[in-house]
Amino acid sequence: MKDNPTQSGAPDRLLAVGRVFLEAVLVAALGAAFAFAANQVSPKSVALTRDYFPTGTPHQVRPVANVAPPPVTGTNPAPISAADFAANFLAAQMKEKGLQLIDGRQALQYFHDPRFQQNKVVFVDARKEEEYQKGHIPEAYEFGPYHPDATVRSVCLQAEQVVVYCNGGDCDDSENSALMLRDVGIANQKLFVYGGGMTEWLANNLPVETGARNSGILLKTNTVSGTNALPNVNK
Amino acid sequence: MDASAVAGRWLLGGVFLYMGLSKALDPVDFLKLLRQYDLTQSSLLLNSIAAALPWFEVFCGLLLLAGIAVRGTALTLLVMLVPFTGVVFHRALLLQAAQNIPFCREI
Repeated sequence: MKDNPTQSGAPDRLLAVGRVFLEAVLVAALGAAFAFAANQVSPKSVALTRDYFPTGTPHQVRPVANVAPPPVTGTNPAPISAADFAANFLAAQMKEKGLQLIDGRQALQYFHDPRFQQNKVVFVDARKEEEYQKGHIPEAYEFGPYHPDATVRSVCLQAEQVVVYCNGGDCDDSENSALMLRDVGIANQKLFVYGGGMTEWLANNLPVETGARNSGILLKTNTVSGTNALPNVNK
Repeated sequence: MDASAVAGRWLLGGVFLYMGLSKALDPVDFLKLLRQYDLTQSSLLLNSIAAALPWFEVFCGLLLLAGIAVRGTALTLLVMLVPFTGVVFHRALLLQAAQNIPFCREI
């Protein structure tokens, strides 16, 4: 023992290391069990079997998000902004899926359509609750990831046109929600995706409702409605 | 009791608890972020990671704070962080290449 102090300590050390490994495995197993259980119970749970992105995986949808196109050489045409690049990519993707894309002008026309008042023309907000509450197109229905609502579905079934929007630009929530609506029986010819989204709507000072649907609380700066012209639409 | 060891596990536990909870309470954003990492084609696997990982971090954070199974937890977290670091670094390199960001700034 005096001659080889380390040797007698080695098996003890090995045992200690083994214990730590075992402990780690136990923590991992219990942690996983806790995690899945917590997800089931949580109000903000993730449905494991649901496909949240029917549009496909990232490398199919677009190159790395918010990325500018490669640098321009002498012979290339003028570069477009990263936002336009992403938006164009998304538009092409939507065409591939058979979704109808509309611009700000058409969206506003639908907004002013008399059928809008009778719920025959319906707007659907595909974003999550906090963003919806902060400001949405007046009378738009909430159809975000936590509210795949049965009532929204029946409203859309009875409507003649359904316009789905999200934040616009390279946000593909509207696409995913539109596909989800299509999957639950809304006819494709009724469905339209407003590409410009909330960003464009706000930029043009169009009316914005806050809080719940039909709360009647409009944002101060965006209470002017009226013309069919959209001065800031750049297309 | 070693004060620095206690402080260390409180700090680490607190960080994991905070990070885990902030993801757990908004899993859809985390899901979208995970999707950008392009780890898997399977939506079941992606959803499972997005569902379980935040709460797993919460669990480990709590264990560290309480001082229960500290070594085992620390080892588990270390093992978890190795692939994380790899994945994040890989994505950073992709972003850097796509946006032509220089690896190091010249001062």
